[in-house]
Amino acid sequence: MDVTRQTKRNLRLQRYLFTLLLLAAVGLLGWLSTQYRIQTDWTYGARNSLSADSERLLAELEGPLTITAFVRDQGPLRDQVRELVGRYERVKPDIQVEFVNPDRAPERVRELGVSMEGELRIAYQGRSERVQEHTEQALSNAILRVARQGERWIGFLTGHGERDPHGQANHDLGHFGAELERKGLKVQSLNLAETRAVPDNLSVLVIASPQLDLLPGEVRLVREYLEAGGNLLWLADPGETGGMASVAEYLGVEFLPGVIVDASTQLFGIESPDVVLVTAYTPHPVTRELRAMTLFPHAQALQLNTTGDWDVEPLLSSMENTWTELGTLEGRIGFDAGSDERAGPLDLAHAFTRSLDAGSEAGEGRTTGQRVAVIGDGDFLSNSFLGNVANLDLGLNLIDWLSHDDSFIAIRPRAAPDQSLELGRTAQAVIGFGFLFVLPALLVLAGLIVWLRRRKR
Amino acid sequence: MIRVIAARELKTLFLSPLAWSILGVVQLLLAYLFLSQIDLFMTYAPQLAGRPNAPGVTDIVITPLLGNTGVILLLIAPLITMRALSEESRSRTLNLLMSSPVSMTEIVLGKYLGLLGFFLILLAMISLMPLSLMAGTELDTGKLASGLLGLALLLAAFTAAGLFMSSLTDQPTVAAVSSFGLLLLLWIIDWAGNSGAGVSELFRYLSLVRHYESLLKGLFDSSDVVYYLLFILTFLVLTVQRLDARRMPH
Repeated sequence: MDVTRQTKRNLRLQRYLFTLLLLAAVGLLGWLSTQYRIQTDWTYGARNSLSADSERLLAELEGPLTITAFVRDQGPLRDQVRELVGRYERVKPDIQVEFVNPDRAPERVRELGVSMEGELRIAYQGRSERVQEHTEQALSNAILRVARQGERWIGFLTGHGERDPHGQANHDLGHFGAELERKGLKVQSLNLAETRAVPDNLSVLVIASPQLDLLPGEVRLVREYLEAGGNLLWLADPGETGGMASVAEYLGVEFLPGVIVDASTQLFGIESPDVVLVTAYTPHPVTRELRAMTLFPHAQALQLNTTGDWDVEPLLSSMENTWTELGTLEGRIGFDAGSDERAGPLDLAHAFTRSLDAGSEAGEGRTTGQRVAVIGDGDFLSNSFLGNVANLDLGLNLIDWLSHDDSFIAIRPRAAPDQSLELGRTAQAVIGFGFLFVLPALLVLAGLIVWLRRRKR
Repeated sequence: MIRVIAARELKTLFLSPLAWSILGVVQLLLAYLFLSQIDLFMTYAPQLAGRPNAPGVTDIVITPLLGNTGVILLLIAPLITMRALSEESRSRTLNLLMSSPVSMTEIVLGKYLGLLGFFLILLAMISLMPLSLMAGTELDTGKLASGLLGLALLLAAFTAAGLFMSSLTDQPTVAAVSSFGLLLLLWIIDWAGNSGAGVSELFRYLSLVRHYESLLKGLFDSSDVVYYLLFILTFLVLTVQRLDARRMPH
């Protein structure tokens, strides 16, 4: 072949073109491989994948779900969150994940009320939920709550010096109200003297520490609301029943006189003796998921006089080292065994349930029972104390449970098959000695022999 | 013909002390890492026992071992692949090979398979360590298999890139350094992930280590496997083309 300059240049051009085409084809194939992919989890018990329950839950969702993770750029937390969220993304590709560095977006942190690094915000159809624990169970349950909740109205009674769900004073519930609204709930103030009836679209009625007594007519309205099957959250501070003695009687609850004093709080550096710590919880849906303790300043104890058709469960109990103090909280105080003071553990809150006659008020088909919670303290949700440990979570759980939003996915942990390693002495010796000394020595020796033999030749 | 070239390549490798000493050094390093991971596991096992979703031996000992193996072989693979074509071209034996009635594709595939054979021997040697633990526990075999598959694909990719680099130059050391540079670049390319969403996605895809990591976790994804296969194919075709260009008179 006669090789001229021309043919050489042509050949080179051909080569470049070929390379270009090759890379384009490879790029296309690579792109296609990310679009049509088969993913399987080879680990024992499919530990990298979601459980069937979570997958079913994701299949129910229509439209996109947004997960905002408040995590700093560096550190293991980010990988942990990415890994967890990745499992969800593999099942539902239209999940939008956004990582926000809380240091760089302080105004978003404030606006969304993010309380700790690693918090996830899950938004779906204008509603949102927060998760602080990075487990599939926690995240799936948050998705469940955000997906299932319809339009829910939470009515806060006003007109008698109650804690205001929009107020900013220390004793008000402004932060709690804001948190409820972020969840997508409708928070509404309710003055019975004006409306003259409890609206029938209310999911939960909240009576938060009335300072003045309710008028007899108002008490009657509350009772009628209860009799008709309404859900109620009643926060009653010591010394005040708001004139609702008849309601208490109807529920079969009695408030013990005095304030609960908790001797163990001093260990935690809390000065005032009337702050009650609750560290252990009942398996009730409200408290089941709580991990941290809750804190109740200036609370009163409840006693059950169960009579009617209510099923009552204690919701929160104080610790052993507590009693109801009848005297003033000054100087040295202690439990007086001879008096009316009652020793702990004392009940701080009760949960009442009652199944309703089918067909009466349960017209919407979703409400099957009536739920009431009575708590001997209103301060734990107030602006000054809401941020303490798990108080906010307890409050949100209470509202969720009262408004019948308490479906729960329990995900069975899937453990690795090889959690113990038991090697015999010989096995240990072979593994330790063999791999570290014998095998490398043999290999190097073989190299040496090869080298010597080649040198001789 | 491919088989003959591959066998000759493998034999040449084992006739040099280099391959033996590499095997010895790699074995020593990995055994040390392996034993210290076992020690770590023994320390933490009692604390982990009661926890839900607790990790096991495979997660604590084997996965990190295989991950470290990837890094160590990133440093060492270029030393094995450097001579493959460059030394032949320096000692003029490449011209002989080229003038023989063998196609370029056969030469490249033969060389590649010979080198791959060496790495498979290395891989078998490394797998002995995790497998030895079966004496004392029930390993998560699925995760182990996926990790070993990932390591095999990673080594095959290293080999292809090293072979290509070796075809570019007559100097084995230059080939070693440049293939190490190329592999390291592809290893860390996803670190520059903060420049725009689209670009960082591409860089993440190109990174050698991303795909390995997901296989190490026990997550088999066809796109990870396809990535390595495409990687190998690309470098082999480029090598063939490079040799073809050499055959042409200049």
